[in-house]
Amino acid sequence: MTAPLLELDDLVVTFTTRRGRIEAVRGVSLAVRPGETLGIVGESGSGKSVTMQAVMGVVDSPGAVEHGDISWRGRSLLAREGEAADIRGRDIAMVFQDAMTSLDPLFSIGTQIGEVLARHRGVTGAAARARTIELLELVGIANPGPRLHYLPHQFSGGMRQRIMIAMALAAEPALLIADEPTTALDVTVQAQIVDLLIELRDRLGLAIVLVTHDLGLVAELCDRVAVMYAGRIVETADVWSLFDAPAHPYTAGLLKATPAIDDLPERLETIEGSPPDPSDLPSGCAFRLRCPRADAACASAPPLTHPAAGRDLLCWHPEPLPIAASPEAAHV
Amino acid sequence: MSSVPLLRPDAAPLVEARGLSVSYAVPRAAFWQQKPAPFRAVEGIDFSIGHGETLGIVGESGSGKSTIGRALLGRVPLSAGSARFRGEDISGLSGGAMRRTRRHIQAVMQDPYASLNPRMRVTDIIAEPLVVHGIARGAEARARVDELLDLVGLPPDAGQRHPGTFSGGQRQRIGIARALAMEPAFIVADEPVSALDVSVRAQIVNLFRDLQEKLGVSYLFIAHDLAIVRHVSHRIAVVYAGRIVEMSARDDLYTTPIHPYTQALLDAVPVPDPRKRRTGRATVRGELGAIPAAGCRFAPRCPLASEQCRREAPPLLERAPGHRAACWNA
Amino acid sequence: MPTPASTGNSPGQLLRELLRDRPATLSTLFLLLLVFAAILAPFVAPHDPATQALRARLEPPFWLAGGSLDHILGTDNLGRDVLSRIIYGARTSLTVGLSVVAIAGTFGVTIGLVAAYVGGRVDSFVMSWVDTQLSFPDLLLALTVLTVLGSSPTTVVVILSIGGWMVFARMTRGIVKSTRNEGYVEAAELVGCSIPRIIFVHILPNLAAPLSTLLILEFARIVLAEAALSFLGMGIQPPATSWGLDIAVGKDHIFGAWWLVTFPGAAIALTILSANLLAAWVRTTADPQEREKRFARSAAGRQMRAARRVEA
Repeated sequence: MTAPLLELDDLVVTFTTRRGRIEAVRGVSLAVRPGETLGIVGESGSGKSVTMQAVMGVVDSPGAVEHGDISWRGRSLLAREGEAADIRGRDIAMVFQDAMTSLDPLFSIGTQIGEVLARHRGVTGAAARARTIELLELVGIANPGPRLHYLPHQFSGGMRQRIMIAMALAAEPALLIADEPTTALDVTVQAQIVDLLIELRDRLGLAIVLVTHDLGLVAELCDRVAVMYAGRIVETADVWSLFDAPAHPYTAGLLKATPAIDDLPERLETIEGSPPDPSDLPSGCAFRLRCPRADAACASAPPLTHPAAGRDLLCWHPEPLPIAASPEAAHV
Repeated sequence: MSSVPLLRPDAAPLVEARGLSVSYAVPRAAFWQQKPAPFRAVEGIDFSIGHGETLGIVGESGSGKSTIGRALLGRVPLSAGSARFRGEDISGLSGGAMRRTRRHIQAVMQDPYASLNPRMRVTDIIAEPLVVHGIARGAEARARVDELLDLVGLPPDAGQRHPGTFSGGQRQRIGIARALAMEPAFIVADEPVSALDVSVRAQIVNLFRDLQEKLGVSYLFIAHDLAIVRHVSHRIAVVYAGRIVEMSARDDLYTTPIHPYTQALLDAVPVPDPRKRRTGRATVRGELGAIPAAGCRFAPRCPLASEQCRREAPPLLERAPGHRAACWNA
Repeated sequence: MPTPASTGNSPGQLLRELLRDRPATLSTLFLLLLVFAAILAPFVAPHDPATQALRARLEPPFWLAGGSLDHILGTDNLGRDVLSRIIYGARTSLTVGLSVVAIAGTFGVTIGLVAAYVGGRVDSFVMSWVDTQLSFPDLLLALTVLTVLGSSPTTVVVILSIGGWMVFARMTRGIVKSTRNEGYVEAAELVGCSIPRIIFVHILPNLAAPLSTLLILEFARIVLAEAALSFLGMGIQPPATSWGLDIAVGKDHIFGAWWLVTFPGAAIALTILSANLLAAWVRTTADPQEREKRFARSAAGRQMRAARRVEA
């Protein structure tokens, strides 16, 4: 197996607030390998975005990485600040949900992409212009030459998201982190952006981390999935076996509660209750108050288990797994 | 959904829109320029909603789907056509008449975080319609609030707290309780679950259906999520650029979509099952942009567009029983 | 289920938070001291501020040669006690400042509210009026009017109010306009609330925090304006006292008796500074995000100090 690009080891991110210390990320460990697409699924407050903000070094005050390590190709990003700033943005690039607020409204898109090229690739002048045009063509912007001096607001939402992706790709990253990249877009536009991400992944051999709440997107795009709940990864598995046989009751509940468009419209199954308040988590397993399988054991923290190859699980009472279900065979 | 009360063909509809159109004045760019033509947000919308029925309105942002709801709520004036409630034209109502009708038409809003006044207690929020319409106050209002809290599945002590202490799903329940306080016959729900977490969304969708069964209330359910709309609606209208392009009974739309836009929408929705990954690329390119001056408004993005589409707007015609679509080539 | 979060706005909690912020605490203490001095002036002032004692002219503060504890901050050119004059001067400054802020604030908020709610032509008329008046230098206006009408404390208050309401109108209009777009205001309209109910129950409470910030800042500006008018001889007239008046008198003796300008000047400066620091604190407290950041900073500071203590 190839060495991972990005590794998180027992990452803890806390926020100091007037209501007390809030652990937004409570010991997350994960690895992203070259060329793979990892989905991080979670609801609001699950810590999925904060985890990625920590990777990019942009956790806002009053939050701070309190414990654990983030490493890139085996070297810690937290230990060396100067080098880390180079790696972030060059080797790891990020695309945000809202392209309008992530692009500077006062500068043309050509200038903004050129800036990335100059900063991370040392490319300037005519070469930068040529490369910018190439990048914009790559992300599917027709006739980019005359549009280099356009300002972000002169593009539609989907176009802006494409420009954001072009900007992220300008530094030729090995890993692209996409935080809810299509949430602000309409479905027909979302499908186009998903197509683009798939195409880029296949053409450039990009590794992608897709942070989302949408299980449909995950099923469409990802190789492997990590499900986050209340600051922890409760289940990791490859996408086939996760959707076939979710082991964590939360994953199972989430899948059942997500209506598919081709479902028979019977009554939706639900998960009881609401996502927990991060400042007031239940002891032990944070999901236990909403969990149909919970019992007294769940009041203490569940251990990390590996019920099947490539699957990690944090649960005392997992859903029964089908025996020897070969994920690859199921696909064909 | 076996308990679906079907619209009795003989019964008079509760809500009826005929040629409903709304346009907004566009400010001129500079004072010496000519005033631009008004922006036609929605045009020629026809539909009716029966007692205890849900009409789902599906569309993308900018399609005008919210404007339809706002027009029925009297938030925007109609530029043409009419909106009727129990046979009475409500488009021209103002002042006292509007307030009286408003008792029967309520709204559930999209953002459960913004739509509750953070300074008020939940009891006061839910009781507000009762108080301002002079229906109940004091102990009587509190008793009614307790009933409503129970009805929407909130604990009885919720009334004493402020909205800030509730999660998104619970807040939406509060918003629904407020809408129900007046025992309305008709509720306009504009994207009521799109701001909620996945695990909570299903609860609220079910709540909408339960309340309909219990109270016989009718909904106009506006959403962009086709899967959610399928779970709450009896009939569905697909809106594109201010016009209804297709309308049918719920299941017909998903099994036999006619309009190329509807087909594209259904194709584009990712299915939460890796075995059902979309094959091939998205068929519809581009985005909802400037509305063409003539012809079908979807023509610039349509894979089937022909010369006729660019010349002439297609009429919304019945293609199968109860299934209408506006397309020349489908 | 999330526990009821404390909103953190109980008086006790606010006080604790204020005490954690040293500049804001000191400012509040100074302003409170000023208020007490002004109210209790006849009891705390050692002398009558207007009583002249020509034999005790230009006595320096007590710690200098020739000074005495009888006149702690010395005396002026007519032998009047500087400290007592500052204490009575606080009375003038506070009275003028508070009256102007009350009058201009009420008028401005009302006008801003009407402009925002009626909108259309009324709105653009009111806002052009505000712009026109703002473009006119208000001290010049005040000087002109006071020269023509003659000076009295009432005239000063009226003239400063006329020049001070516009900022209130502008802020109120902005906040009301943006609050009207809030979901809960739309919900209230949909429910069928009357306009007064929407204004008083749903919109105006949002004004409290920014309005208190602005009131404090405007108070500081008015204190300064009154001092300036009095310094120029167009404001408070003797035998009444005012810090500006004292500085005007003291400037003739600035080389021989520095204390005549220094102490009233310091009183003005400290008042303005305190008001500004307190306003900054109020503004931060009213903004939930900024408030959390301030909390995190002070928590980090406490942790660091605790760590240092452990090391030591």
